[in-house]
This record gives sequence, structure tokens and C-alpha cells, in this order.
Amino acid sequence: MWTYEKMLQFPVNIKKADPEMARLILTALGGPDGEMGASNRYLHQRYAMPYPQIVALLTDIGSEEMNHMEIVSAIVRQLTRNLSSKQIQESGFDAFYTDHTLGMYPVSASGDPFMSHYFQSKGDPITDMHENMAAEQKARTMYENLIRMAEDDDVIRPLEFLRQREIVHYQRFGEALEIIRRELDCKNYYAFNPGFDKKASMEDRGLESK
Amino acid sequence: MRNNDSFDFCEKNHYDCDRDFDFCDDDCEYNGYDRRRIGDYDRRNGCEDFDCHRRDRDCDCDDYDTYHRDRDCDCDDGHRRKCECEERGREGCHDHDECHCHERENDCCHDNDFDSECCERTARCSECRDFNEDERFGCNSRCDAAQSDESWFDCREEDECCQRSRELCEEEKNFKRKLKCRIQVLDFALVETALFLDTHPCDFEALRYYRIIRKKLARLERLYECKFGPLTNQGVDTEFGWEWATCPWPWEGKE
Repeated sequence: MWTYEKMLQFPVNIKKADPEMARLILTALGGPDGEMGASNRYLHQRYAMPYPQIVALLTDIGSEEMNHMEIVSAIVRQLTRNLSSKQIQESGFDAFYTDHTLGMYPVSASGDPFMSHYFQSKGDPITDMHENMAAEQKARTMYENLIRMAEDDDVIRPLEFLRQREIVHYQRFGEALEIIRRELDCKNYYAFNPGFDKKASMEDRGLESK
Repeated sequence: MRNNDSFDFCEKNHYDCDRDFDFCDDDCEYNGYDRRRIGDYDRRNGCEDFDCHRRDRDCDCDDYDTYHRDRDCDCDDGHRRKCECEERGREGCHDHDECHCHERENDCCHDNDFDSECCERTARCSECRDFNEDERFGCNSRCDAAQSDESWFDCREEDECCQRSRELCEEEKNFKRKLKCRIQVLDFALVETALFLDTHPCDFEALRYYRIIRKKLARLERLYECKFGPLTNQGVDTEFGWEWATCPWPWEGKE
């Protein structure tokens, strides 16, 4: 269960409209490395995760990614306020405008709508944790690309914050991977899948497949 | 032929493994963009009275040490004796209520006891961490926006609130903005600490920090909801009607 707090995780107050930048920043919502994919990735991986402390981590980070979806949407919303039709046509925002007016819709910078192909839930803790770490790094790169293109400080500040969060999440998932490895047979991490095989029970740990 | 033994993590001390993920140093030195350095956001995000260093000197801890700052002295009550949490020795704590080192050590992890209640439920932990992560990674910026409060509204009497009107005057708007900003800082500190605790469940410093921040946050959220409207749909004060939908939404940029 979730409850909503009427508050952004990081303040967004943009004065100057910039539809071109808005179109690019939309990718942080529904693009291949966007927050929507991130949130779905972690919240769906939770169920097959056998280690309770990592279920907690996935829940907490998955929920935080929802905060980030709202921050990105707030940026896009405020960048597209009070547009003239001339601005829309000249900025390259016209294609999005045609399909969605000023509605929020998760698309990538190149215009592809959000797809669940963007994330994976493999049911194997080591595989999933590597997926998550890679995803955080890809998102960091995306934010750095956006920050390079942005000129308005009001836009850059929340983007910077989001970039920093990707780094923290990467660190936490790295630690989670260490915790998982600690629970496995250190001679062969891949002797069994602790998310599926019964061999993952306490007595058998470290005894199998030597 | 490649042998898995070359990846033998068991040879190492398991609990040093998170050094393999030591990105913190890099972060601190990251300066790819001017005026966009990591760590600066604390300053921008609401901590207007940035100079914690100076402020803490005003507190009455008898053994004040600049380096240990807020951690050791609870400035909410400057007359309290300094608690030597750093040492975690038996003689260290003068104030058991403030710092639960003793009881925690008995409950959890003190003797590398994996069967103790705490460690069974959460991750295994072999030792009590008596160091501060920031210091270990050399990231101690000496200012923690969440800890460095004593902002003027923190000291405000709570019964001063609850006189709401539709139109806020300039001073009230200013107060609302500051209060919201402060809540955002504390809320973020809590989120961040919770993530840290997910992978470091036995870190006393983090547990203590979590407890302090949670208390402060609850108080300010209550103040905000009382004065300016609900933060969650369970915090609506119906004396003023159903305000959940009528006060501005955060993405509108009206604050």
C-alpha cells in the first residue's frame, strides 16, 4: 500500500518556458532509462527476492523512484506553461503536442512510448542486482547528458539532484549484491539460484557443488 | 582454465566488502560542472543559516570538540552532558537515555553473536560500527542540512498556529516556503538514512540519526498541516472543510 504526500522530494520552481528542453527531459520519465522503468523494475523484482533486507531496499528505492517520476513531470509541466503556437512549432515540441496537447505521457527523447522491455525482472538475485546497478549507471549518464544541454539553473538543480540519487542507489545495490554473495557458496556463486532452488536453504549453503 | 577460486571472497574479511563500492571519494571530487558540485545541494536546499560551525559553539556542551559537532551534542538541549558515543566504551556514556549504546550493544552484535535477535532478523553483522561513514570516506563536509536546524521556526510555539485564512500575507507565504523547505530537507534525510540502514542495519550512528530526524520531521509536519493544509489525505483537518484538493499541488510551482 502506498500513500501520497503532497510534496515534491526536491523543489521545482521554473520560471522560463522551454518546450525543446521539456521534450528531451520527458525521456527521464518514460525513456529507456527513465524513472517509470526504474520504479517498475524494483517493485516487481521484490517478490522473488529471498532476502528480506533486500526486499526492503527494493521497496524503498522503488518508492523513491515514484517521487522522481513526479519531479520529472513537474519539470516538464513547468517548462511547457503559457506556450504560444509559434513556440510549439519552432521548438520541435509540435509532434508531442499533436498527440498529447500538454498532457503528461511517458515517451523517450526520440518519441517512443514507454515499453516494459526497458526493464527486466529475472527472478535471480544476482542477475537482478546487476540489472539494477547497470540501470542506475545508465540513468546517471542520461542525467549528465541532460545537464550538459540545460541552460536554466532552475532546471539544472533538480536534474542534479536526480543524478545524485542514481549514484546513491547504485551504491546501495552494490552493497546488496555483497550481502547476496555472502549468503551463497563462495566457491561458486552460481551453483544454484537462491530465488528458485531449494538448495538455498540454510543447511546447504556452502556445502553444495564443491 | 579459469578457476572460480580466483574470485574467492571468503578469504577476505566479508565486512570490509563495501569498500569495493567506494564511490564516495569520487563524488566529492567531482567537479565536471562548475557550481554544480555534489554536496552543494544541501546548502541550496533550505539550510539558509549555513554556518553550523559557528552556531554549535554556542551550545553548552562541556567538552565541545569541533570535529564531533552535532553528533555528540544534542543542541536541542545544550545543558545535557556530552555523550561519548564515539568510544562506545562501558564508561563512555553519561546519559543512557540519550544514547542507547549500552543496551544496544547487549541486544545486538556485541560479541559477533549471529544468533542474537537483531542479527537474525536482519543482515549479519560481525561488529559494531563505531565510525562515521562520512569520515571514513573523507566526505565530511561538516554541514548536515538536516542536523543543522535551530532555524527560527523550529523554536516556534506550536499553539501559535491554526489561525488559517484563505489569503496568506507575504510574511506567511515566506514562512510557508521555509517550513516546506525544512520538511523537504528532513524528509530527504530520512529517506537517505532508511536506504543506508537497509544495507547497514546495525549502524548505531545511523539508527540514532534516524531517531532524531524522525522526531523533528513529525513535529514540523504537524505544524505545517495545522497551519497551511494537509500533506497526506489522512492529515486533513476537517475544521476547514475538505482541503485535500483545494490547496495547490506541488508540480504547479505556486510555492
